[in-house]
Amino acid sequence: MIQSKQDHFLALYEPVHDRFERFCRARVYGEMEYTDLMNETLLVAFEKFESLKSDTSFLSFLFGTAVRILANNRRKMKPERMSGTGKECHASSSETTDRATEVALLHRALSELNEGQREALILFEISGFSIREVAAIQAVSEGAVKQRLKRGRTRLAEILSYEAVLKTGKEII
Amino acid sequence: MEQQKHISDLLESARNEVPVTSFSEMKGEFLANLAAGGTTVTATSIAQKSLWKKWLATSFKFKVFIMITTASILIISSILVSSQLTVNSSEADRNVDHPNEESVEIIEVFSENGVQKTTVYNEKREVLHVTIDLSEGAKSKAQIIELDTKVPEVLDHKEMLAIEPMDVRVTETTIGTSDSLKMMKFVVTEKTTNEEIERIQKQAIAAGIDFTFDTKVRNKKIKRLSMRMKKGGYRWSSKITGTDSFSFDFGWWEDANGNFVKFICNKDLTMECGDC
Repeated sequence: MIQSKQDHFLALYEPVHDRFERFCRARVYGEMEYTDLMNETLLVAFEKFESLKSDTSFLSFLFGTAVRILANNRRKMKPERMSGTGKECHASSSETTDRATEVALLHRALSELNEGQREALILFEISGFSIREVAAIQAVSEGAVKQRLKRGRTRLAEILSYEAVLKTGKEII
Repeated sequence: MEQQKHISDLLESARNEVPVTSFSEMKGEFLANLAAGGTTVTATSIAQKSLWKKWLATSFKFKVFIMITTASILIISSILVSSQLTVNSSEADRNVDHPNEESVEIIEVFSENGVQKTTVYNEKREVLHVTIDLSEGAKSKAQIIELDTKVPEVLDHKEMLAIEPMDVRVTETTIGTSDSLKMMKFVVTEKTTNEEIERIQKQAIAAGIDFTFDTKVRNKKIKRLSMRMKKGGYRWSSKITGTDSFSFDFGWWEDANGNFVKFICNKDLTMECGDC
């Protein structure tokens, strides 16, 4: 019974692993190890797996679980920013590539946004959820999600411009 | 505009980025965590505490542990309570079988020709304990202990005369006769005053008896009374303690000429008692 539950859970998780991993990596950049969030989310999701009504809703179920875990922990304690630039979180061979550097830069810029904007941007832009799905995951209205996305992009542009100026001394036009 | 395009490019790059942690790695960690009891192995996990609490609340082992602990506490408590009750009951039994000195109300010591008889009464004037000691003049000490719950016999006086008008409410003074002997009997109660005992003392001294007494009075009631009488080879003493109310008889026999013959015993108040 337990073995079959595990197999079923992992079978549903495998196709969404990449999206979930990217979400976790972007979401907790500079705050904690993203693998910790993944592990916690998987355990909690597995524990509440019986409450999943349909296999098709597993993706939103998993992301919603991760968002609730982060929200609960945010209430319990103030997040402590991890020291360093985030390179420690991304120790991989692809780090040397320009794309990896840009993604790391994006993650860093995202971490400067507030929780709602950051989460909405990651879910919508990186994880590929629709606005309705993001609204369901964040338990807010679709209008609020749109507002978060708009303000988040504006704020993200400001941060990236500022960092570009610091880096190159020339503003991106 | 170009800035927005740049952001879109960055987001596109992030969307298509190759995962750092593969599914197989994640699966391995997940299964290991499940095998470890559902808790994460990483110490930095911020959700570890809440998961631990959930595990404690839902774990069957934890529930069993709580049940066993509760049952143990109940069993130990019941054992302690029952042992305490057992000790109390055994102490009560011992008190019934062997009344100690604190429960004794009246002690009377009667000595004649080296033979000493000690009688212990309760407040109902029932004889609890009688000891006969042959120690004087004898090398070995013989001790006879008997328990008697019978009420002492009441002397059937042939004639009752009052010697002096005394407060009969607190003290009764009578004279009984038996053949040619006269019994001088006095009754003291908790309401007897020192002056009344002193009058008995004077009467004893007139009969040639060395009479001494000691009282402890509280709230106009005798709480402790000890009396000692001595005449030749005869000795008598009594000690009354630990009772709120009592009525104690004592006295002596006189011959027709008013000379002392023997002390009387509280139990029998007969001539034969003097021989015991």
